[in-house]
Amino acid sequence: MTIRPNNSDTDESFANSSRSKPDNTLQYMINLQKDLKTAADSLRLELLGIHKEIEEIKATVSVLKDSIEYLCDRKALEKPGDDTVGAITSGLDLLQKAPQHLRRTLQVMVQLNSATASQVARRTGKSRSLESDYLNQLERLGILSRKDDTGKHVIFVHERTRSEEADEENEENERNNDEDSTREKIQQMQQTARDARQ
Amino acid sequence: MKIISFHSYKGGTGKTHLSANLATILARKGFKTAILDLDFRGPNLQTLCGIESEVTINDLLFDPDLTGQDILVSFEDQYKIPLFAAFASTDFRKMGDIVRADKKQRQRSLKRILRLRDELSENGFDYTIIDTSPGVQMESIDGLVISDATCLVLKADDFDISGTKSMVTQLYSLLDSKNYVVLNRVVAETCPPEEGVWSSADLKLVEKFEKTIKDEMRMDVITSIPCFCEVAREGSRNIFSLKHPEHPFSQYIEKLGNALLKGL
Ligand SMILES: Nc1ncnc2c1ncn2[C@@H]1O[C@H](COP(=O)(O)OP(=O)(O)OP(=O)(O)O)[C@@H](O)[C@H]1O
Ligand SMILES: [Mg+2]
Repeated sequence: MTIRPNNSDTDESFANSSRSKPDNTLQYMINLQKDLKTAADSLRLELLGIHKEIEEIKATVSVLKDSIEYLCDRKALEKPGDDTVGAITSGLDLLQKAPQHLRRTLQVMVQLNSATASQVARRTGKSRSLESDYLNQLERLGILSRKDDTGKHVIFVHERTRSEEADEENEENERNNDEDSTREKIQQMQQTARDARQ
Repeated sequence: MKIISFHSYKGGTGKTHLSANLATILARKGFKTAILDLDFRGPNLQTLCGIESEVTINDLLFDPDLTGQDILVSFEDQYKIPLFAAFASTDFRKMGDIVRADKKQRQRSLKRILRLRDELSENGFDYTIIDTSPGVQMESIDGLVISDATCLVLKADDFDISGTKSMVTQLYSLLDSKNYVVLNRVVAETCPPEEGVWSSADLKLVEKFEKTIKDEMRMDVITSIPCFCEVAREGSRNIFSLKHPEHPFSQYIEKLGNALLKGL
């Protein structure tokens, strides 16, 4: 921003005129004072604008921070789904994710979805203690998780009987609703930021 | 129950013919044998067996209420041997469903294939032969995963084996099964060999070829089946060894069967 008197006189012309026309000096000073006042006003306005912009940026940053925190919290709470590391969705997964000695056990778990070591042992014909060890190994690999209340191992991705499928569908709907509410929440935050800007 | 699958990198190597003929020969020996068509992309086992199956493996993969019993077709009455088959659907829509299957459906399919395996085993089947789609189709890999022996079928006139080689290094190295190469449609100077027996000069050629493949693939060549015009002529209309049990081709399949059973 440049502060310049409204009349077209330059500093040089002022110097010359002050020497030659003392009467005009007063008028010139009055004009200059006016001009300075106008300039100061516009400077103040401009500073106010900058201040407002800073406030808006602050509000946006705060919304972004809240959104990130909110999404991080959600992510931490998320149940393992189709995209978890442990998901076995094809024969290729069986081959790639589990070492050879655990594959038979894993195949049984893919079929049963949830089972105790004894149940697995009955299927594979191996001993319960061996299967228990294998299940623990699969758990350490992140392929299986343990149901806390029953001690049964559960495979991450689910596919079950019709009634269980229905349960799963409900869960899915809930998850979708949750996602909708996340979207709403973010939209609300964005609106707050817009309001702050106005 | 033991499972033997036939697979290849490229199409048209003879997987379906070898599967069906091997299953027939095992059943003729008195073994209760099932053949599963897991070639959902280009099924032709139905044509080979001369039937049209209403309920197929495709239905089993999508309908949890179906069991192996619902999809198995028995040839016991027709051929007087304990031969059974489950087919892949030739219905365009159902073939499309397989191609479009999402992750969840893929997992269901794997689960149902595993269940079918257990069901066949519980029902006293001695052998299950699996015919697959060429290449690394997911359904083919599901079949390979449950196999005790895998036959990689190579057409002997196909000299570009770089693709096959990379599939072997990347996929076969992960498999739990015993893996063999079957050289099919082998051609030498006198072709087909008289009475199915190579002349000593031709035998040398064939052995040289087997050695090259063995060195390239780092897999054993379990057998080399000559190219027989009669087999090609009959095409995919019937199971050759059912109609011509004495033909050298049928004897080669018998030899293949014996070698496979010995290794299991
Ligand atoms: N040993 C053989 N001698 C002569 N012809 C053969 C022989 N083996 C197979 N064929 C012929 O090769 C053709 C292809 O065989 P087949 O359909 O079994 O191959 P495939 O590997 O199953 O093919 P796709 O990959 O398309 O399923 C058939 O027409 C069959 O008659
Ligand atoms: Mg075929």
